[in-house]
Amino acid sequence: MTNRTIHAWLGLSLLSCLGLPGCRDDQPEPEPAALAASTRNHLVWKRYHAFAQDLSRALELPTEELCTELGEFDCINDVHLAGLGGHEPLHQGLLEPLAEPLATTPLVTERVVLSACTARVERDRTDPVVFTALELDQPAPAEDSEAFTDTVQDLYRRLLGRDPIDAEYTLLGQLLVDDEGEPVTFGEFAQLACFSIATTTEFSFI
Amino acid sequence: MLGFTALLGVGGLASEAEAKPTGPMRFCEAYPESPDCSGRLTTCETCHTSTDPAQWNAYGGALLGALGGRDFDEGIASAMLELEDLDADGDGETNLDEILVGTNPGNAESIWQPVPEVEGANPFYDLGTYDPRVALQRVMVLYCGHSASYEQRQDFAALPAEDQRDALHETLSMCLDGEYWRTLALRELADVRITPSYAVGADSDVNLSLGDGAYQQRLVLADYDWDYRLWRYIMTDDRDIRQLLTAKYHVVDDGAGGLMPVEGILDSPYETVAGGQPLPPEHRAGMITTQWFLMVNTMFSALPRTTAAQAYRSYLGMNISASEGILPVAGEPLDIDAKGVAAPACASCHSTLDPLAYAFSYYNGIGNETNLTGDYDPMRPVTAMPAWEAEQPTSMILGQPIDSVAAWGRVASESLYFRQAMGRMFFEHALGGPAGPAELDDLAQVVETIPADGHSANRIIHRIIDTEAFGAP
Repeated sequence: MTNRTIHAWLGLSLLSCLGLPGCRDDQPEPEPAALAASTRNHLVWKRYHAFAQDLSRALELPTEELCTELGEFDCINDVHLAGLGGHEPLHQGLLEPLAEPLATTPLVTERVVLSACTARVERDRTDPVVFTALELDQPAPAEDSEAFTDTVQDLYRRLLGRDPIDAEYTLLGQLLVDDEGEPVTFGEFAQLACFSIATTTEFSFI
Repeated sequence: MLGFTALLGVGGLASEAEAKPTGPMRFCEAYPESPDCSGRLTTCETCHTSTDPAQWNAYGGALLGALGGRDFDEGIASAMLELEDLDADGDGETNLDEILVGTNPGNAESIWQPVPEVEGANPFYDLGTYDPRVALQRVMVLYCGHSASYEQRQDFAALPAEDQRDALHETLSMCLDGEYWRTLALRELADVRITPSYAVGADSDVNLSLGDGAYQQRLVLADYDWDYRLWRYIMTDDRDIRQLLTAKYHVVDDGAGGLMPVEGILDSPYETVAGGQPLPPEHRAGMITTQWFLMVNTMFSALPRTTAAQAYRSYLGMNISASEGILPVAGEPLDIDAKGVAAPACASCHSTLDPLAYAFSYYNGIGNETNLTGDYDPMRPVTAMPAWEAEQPTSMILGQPIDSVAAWGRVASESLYFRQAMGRMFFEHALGGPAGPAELDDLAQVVETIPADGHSANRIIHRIIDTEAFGAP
């Protein structure tokens, strides 16, 4: 992952912490700093099952194809189950899920999301379902293009169930070029945009 | 200053004083209105940083000093009264205020201030008040197993405000009737109560070699799927959850994706050591007398203390190994099986635990012969414990004498402890963790309405999603 990607992801996480559902065209859009923040320290962890279901539904991939280790072992239901908030009593003797995310939870969340987003992009090369605005090996679209706006809006609706706000379009626009400022392909942009949105706090907590 | 003085006192007395398992009971007698006595559970942490060896926090130390050597059970109430207006942990809140709000009077880091008012505006969420849009997303994830779609959220947001609550409850009803909740989610809530193990369950691939290897038999000591089916059946369709401790029936798949109850003794469908339900209905008490429950907890014990403790922990929410739910019975423990539990260090907990366990002594754990596992044997206590006949121990639960596990289940299922345990289980599942001070009133309200709602799990959850704790961002 490039530094630019990490920065964009952190920015998106911050925005989603503030909880900013909105619409680019038809809703008033206050400055993030002016928004009142919740005074309750209370988010509920979206654990493994809903996490997998949401990724599967958003990216239209079977859950068993979201992520496997060594091409064989299910990342979510097997290898990283505990880190994603699940438990397994029969073989592992883990009778209850962990109360809070582990130190490894962000890592395995990113592992699964990156795998799922990559899988979706690869499938879309031959049978476009999610990333349909352009051919995936073409250059990524311009930030003010309809293809960019449609792709970002569609990803937000699929993954977060809402429309993006202007600040989020701007942040994702940073993914259209690499660290040297050179344009990336639409496929690379699609993968990173998908990853960035699906690793936000807003996607992982309710 | 008090904290320092108390610590000095603790240091001087620690070598000759012990933790008192009756402390939580005395605490709730003095402060029944405390959240720890109405929704949550009073624990040793109110006074202790450790119970073995006994070490006290600032409040516990202050109490120890205020007791001044008096008998604990006789003097503790007045000692607590003496300290009410003081601030043992120096966090700025009096002991009484902390007790009434549900924070720990002996831990300066346990403090609660009212949730601050929201400053400024947020056009997207109704911060600080119940927001049905937040509740919808939580309902969908927790009870349907996935998030609300974009279209679903749009449709919901477009409803008039007065219709959104009804729509929310309709969505919840749909989820509670769906496959995710009725199978996977409910099953996961039961795991810690059933404690399944693949190696000796119905799917076991471990083989016993019999007759010098001439005959192989799978090592199925019992089948936990009976337990899961019973749990899921009782927890759905507005059934009475007291049946968790009173049901005389078992539950099988109905062949059409549903569950249905069956009566009587059920033979094992497997050519294995065990796996059916051998217990006559008159000796049944729901989840705590299935073959699996008795096998995995009693095993070869003469006095099934583990079985009673697991039932107490699972369905009344009190973990005796953590000194929770200690309600000593006078004259106990008898040490009926000569295990040395009458020693002072053991007696304080076993004076509650052993009377809880006597009734389970008539049930086999792992049987010595095929199909005896989990069966009822009126001679088992006498056979297994030579002192039984002379002592004639009386089983007790929650201060009431009982003559059977069926009665154990009846008394337990009618108790406030049972309602608290079940309400707390669903509340914590919904909130993702224990209720905090700001949420304790909501929890207490949920527990209080369980009888009026017919002891229905579904109704408990409908109550929970209406609370501010659930729906206020």
